[in-house]
Amino acid sequence: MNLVRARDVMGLPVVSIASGEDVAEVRDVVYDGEAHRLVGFTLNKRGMFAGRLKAVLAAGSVAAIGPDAVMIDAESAIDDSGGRGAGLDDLGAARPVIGNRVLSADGSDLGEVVAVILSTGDELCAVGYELQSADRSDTSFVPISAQMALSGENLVLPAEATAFVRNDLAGFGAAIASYRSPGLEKNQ
Amino acid sequence: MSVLWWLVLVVVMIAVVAVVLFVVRRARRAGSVLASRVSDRGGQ
Amino acid sequence: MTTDTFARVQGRGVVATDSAESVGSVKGFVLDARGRKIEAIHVDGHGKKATILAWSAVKAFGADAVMATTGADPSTIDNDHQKAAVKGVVTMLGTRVLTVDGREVGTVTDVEFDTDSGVVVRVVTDQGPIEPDRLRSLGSFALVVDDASATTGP
Repeated sequence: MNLVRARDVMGLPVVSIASGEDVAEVRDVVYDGEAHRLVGFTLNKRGMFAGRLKAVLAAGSVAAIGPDAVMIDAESAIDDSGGRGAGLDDLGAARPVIGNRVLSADGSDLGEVVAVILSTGDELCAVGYELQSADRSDTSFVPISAQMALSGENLVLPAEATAFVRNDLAGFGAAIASYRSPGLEKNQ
Repeated sequence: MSVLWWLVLVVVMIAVVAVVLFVVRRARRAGSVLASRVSDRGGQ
Repeated sequence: MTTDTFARVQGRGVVATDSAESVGSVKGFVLDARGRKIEAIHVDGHGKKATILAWSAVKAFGADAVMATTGADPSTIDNDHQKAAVKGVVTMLGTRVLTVDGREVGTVTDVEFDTDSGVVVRVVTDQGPIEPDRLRSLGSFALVVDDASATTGP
């Protein structure tokens, strides 16, 4: 599995496969922390002094994400109707997941969320969270699952997910390849 | 000699303004992981 | 099939067959949207005032000179695609190569083409050659190519 932190996608150029043009640049990563779903991206114009683009890019409209660019099939993949109905309007209305505390099913504090982990393979979606323990000494990666309970500022990791927790991103990728089974709610 | 000092001052001021502009512009373009509104989960 | 390369033909004279007059020299190329075929040769001028010779007007692309067919005149550019090409905004040599998976895989160092048809037969990069059937598009940002190890998709 090809995994990246959501924040590493910010600033990448958005390139059209049909034209070879860099039509925009990724500004924000829009994430639904309650459904644990990657919604899409807001955009900037290209150029060091250029401003925001009104258009947005829904996660489902992305052809691929690589280390050097976000690829779209054609410029029409970018939606400039204001993102209505795609979950990309009225941003910031919900509580972001970064900073939430994660507890295991048996009540231990696994740490707080410091990054959202995305899979950029065949399907672009959020697959896990990077956690940092309270004393900042340990980092771990936990899988996202539809069963994650959310209450207040806490996320609870279901018991069956603990077997897939790892301390390094590569190991985590290998572990969850089997965890993300059918039945899990996928991005449209 | 005072002309030279003025020149240096002007150059430094231009440099400072340029750096400030650059930093401010970078900050304004900076993105973050944002929360989306949860209401319409089924709609697409 | 005789071939030549963009780097090698730079500066080669372009001559009208009937008058033996110089029409210009090879300054650059206007390619199709995918970067697979030469549409025209930029022979003179700069920017908006550049003159190009359509590939159909090329009678022979020789080792020492390019011969234009009888009665063919270079024309001025008349669309944005040609303007971008003659200004060097959209060009093969030196452009980054980006795969459809979003990975940069080098820069173009040369382009080999068939001197009869104007079709690109190979794109040479600093990370190896690229077969023309992998070319997806040539734009101002990158030459977009299919992944090298791509198996047939859905």
